[in-house]
Amino acid sequence: MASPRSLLLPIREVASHSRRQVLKRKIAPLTQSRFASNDPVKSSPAPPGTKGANESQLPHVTEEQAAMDKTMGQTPPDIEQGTPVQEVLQRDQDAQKNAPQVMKEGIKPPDGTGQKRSYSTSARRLYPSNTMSPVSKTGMIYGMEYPDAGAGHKFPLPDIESISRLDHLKRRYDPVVDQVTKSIMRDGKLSLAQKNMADILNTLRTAPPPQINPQFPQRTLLLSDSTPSPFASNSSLSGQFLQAPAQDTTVQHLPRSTLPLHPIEYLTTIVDSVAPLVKIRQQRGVAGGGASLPIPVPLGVRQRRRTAIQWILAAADGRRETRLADRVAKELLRVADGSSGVWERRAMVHKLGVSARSNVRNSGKTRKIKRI
Amino acid sequence: MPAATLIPSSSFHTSAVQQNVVKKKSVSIQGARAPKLRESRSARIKKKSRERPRPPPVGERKAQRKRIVLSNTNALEVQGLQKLGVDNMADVAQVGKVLALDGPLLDQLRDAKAFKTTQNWNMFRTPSTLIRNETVEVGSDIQRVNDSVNGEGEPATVHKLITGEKASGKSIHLLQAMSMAYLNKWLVINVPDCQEYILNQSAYAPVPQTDSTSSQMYIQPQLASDLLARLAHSNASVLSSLRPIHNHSATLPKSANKLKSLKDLALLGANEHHIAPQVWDAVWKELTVKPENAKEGSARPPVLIAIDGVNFWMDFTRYKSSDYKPIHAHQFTLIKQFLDLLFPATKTQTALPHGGVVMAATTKSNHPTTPTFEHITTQIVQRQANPDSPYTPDLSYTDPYMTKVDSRVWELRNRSEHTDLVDLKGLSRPESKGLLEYFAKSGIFKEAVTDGAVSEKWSLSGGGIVGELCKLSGRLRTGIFETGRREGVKMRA
Repeated sequence: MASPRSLLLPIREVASHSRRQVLKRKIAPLTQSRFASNDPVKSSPAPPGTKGANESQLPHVTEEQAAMDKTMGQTPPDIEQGTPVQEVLQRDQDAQKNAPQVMKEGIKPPDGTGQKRSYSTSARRLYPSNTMSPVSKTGMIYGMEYPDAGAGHKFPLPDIESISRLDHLKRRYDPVVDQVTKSIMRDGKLSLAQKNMADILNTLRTAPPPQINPQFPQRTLLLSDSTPSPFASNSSLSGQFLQAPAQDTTVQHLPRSTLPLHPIEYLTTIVDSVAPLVKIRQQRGVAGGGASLPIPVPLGVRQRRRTAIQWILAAADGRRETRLADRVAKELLRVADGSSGVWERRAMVHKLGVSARSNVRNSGKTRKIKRI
Repeated sequence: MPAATLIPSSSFHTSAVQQNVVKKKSVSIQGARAPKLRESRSARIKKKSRERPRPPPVGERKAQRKRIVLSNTNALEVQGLQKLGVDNMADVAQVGKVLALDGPLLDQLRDAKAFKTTQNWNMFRTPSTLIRNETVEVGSDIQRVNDSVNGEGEPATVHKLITGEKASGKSIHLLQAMSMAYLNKWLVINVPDCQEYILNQSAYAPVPQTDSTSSQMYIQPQLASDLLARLAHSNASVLSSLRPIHNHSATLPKSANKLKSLKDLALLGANEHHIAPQVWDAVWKELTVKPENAKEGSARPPVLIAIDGVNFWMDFTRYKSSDYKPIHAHQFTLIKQFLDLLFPATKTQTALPHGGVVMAATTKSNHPTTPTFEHITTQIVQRQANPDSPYTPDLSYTDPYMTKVDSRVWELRNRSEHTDLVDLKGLSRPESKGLLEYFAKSGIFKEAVTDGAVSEKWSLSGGGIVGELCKLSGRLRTGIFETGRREGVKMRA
């Protein structure tokens, strides 16, 4: 809406006569004191009613106008409320010329033929929903030439429900696969990493399904048919840190035997199963004496996975297979079997996290964990 | 607020952490570690030898690289999968279907080294192959040869040169032909990789020259031995029923005359590579006995010769002659023999008196530059497209930019008339759909096999290039819980 801007010009406070008298009673009148050249005896106090150095100025334009109007018998402007600049401008042709552009635009010409905006900024709906349909009872669409496209559209809207989040160009691959691929990439050779990743997934596809390792029964994968192990439900850890990632029931896990048929889920299961909950931050200068204080810090989902991937890749480096894809795939299978040293690392971090849990202080400014 | 300030650090704190913070006395460089007078005081860091993992035993890497896995027990069993057999090999109704290769045939193909590591046999429960139009054509060729052998008249011979883009299914085409030949109790001679004949990685020796005008010929004993081994093991049942009728005492040891079957004869060369070229000649002489000369009970079956990567044989090799000049591929006896079979001089006077099929496929991966041979193939294509064109009788060499013509290869041009060229192109839509359905039934292709999906994959694979199509079908972009991943991920708590 093009409403005129109303700028209030503050009325400058002019010292009134009565106020000056009040001041006079309390403090001595201001007089010039010339210590070096003037004789102080000669200077006499000013007689009452004399104006000071800066008290004989012209009145403010509004006051002047009011006085003028009063003299001419017209309606004076309201001094108490202040005068909008627009009113001043309306009266003063010269001021209109020199006024800023915003104000010029705001001036309403008396006959209503002023400048108008070429576009509408109105927030009002053209067709209030439910109350009025763009389609009239006769079947005609008001102002529309494309009856098939729906109201207001030249072409029909796409079916947004069918578009998944992963249909975006930058997110077109599965998040875990993408993360592992980028982790095995060297020298920016993404396509080579992708080729290796395809080999890894093929190896997972053809390897026998993982079995429960009788040596390490507590090293269980996240499966739909496995009961949570006592190690996994370590209450002292999970209770303390897990305000973040919210338990999402939409994600399912697969039974053990079907994992190879779904290599992406297999990979995700392996990585998520060994992903640690926390990392241990060694805080220096708190304990004093140069010792560092271990503080467990909760990790986000992506960070947890990253840690697990780095551990797996580090363990794969020590293997003897010639090809990178073989080394990584074999290490992943060892993790699935429960025989990998990555499980050990995870257990160590969690143990340290438990023992250092008293070093965590809740400051009220907890870090927000970014969710995927 | 930095996290450090959150931790109380009172002076009277008596926690275990605080107790540990007893400052250790700094150790100065004294005593035995201190540098002697006028000794360098710069830090000397002792080099740590990097711990490398021990390399695998000799031969293990190669075995791993060459390992052929034909089954994946994780893959789903495809219901209603039919087998490739004699009755359906030339059946046009099978086009677009996937047929399984069954037990004994697999052993034969494996012995013949027909499978390659680049093919995706290890993804499926049962080794199977897609029947395409060209496959059925080969099937009918084999049937035609069979009919001609059983009927009156001259046994038929088919000569085929198979070309096509990379991953267009040339090697699989050879494998399919071999499978059909084995099913028909033919003899199969397979050359799985022509490259090994030219790379100078196996022994070679000159053949004594009988006439000075012809070029020097060479033999490759080790390769002949390998060839005989493939022949003997993959065709064991057929060869053991064939009796030798010639006396080979002139070229072979006397023990060779006591051998009961051609399988034993072939095994003789397979086990002793120094006589392998002579044994190969003897075996070939036995296999190509003229029918009218054949004694009682010494009939010979038709032969399929499959050669993969034939364009490696169309240039100079890495072998060197005695005056250190490169030897041409056509100077090797085995190569020359196979090429003479592929490009016969006349249609009637064939080197296969019992009929058969000679097939050679080019290779497009790691392929050599052979402009002369490529020119010949183009001319064959033109001749097939316009049989009545005026250029056909006299195939003239017309490329003005070809500066060097390989005269030995160019000589094949005169004999290329009886060789058919099969250019393998992309699969058709129905064939693509059949392949994708097989992938889906095996649990590998996760999308619904709709016409839209087939079209998409067909287009993405360069118009149905079968190798690319297989890659695309096995490639996964997302998991099956794609929708679940939208909101968040449940992980181990």
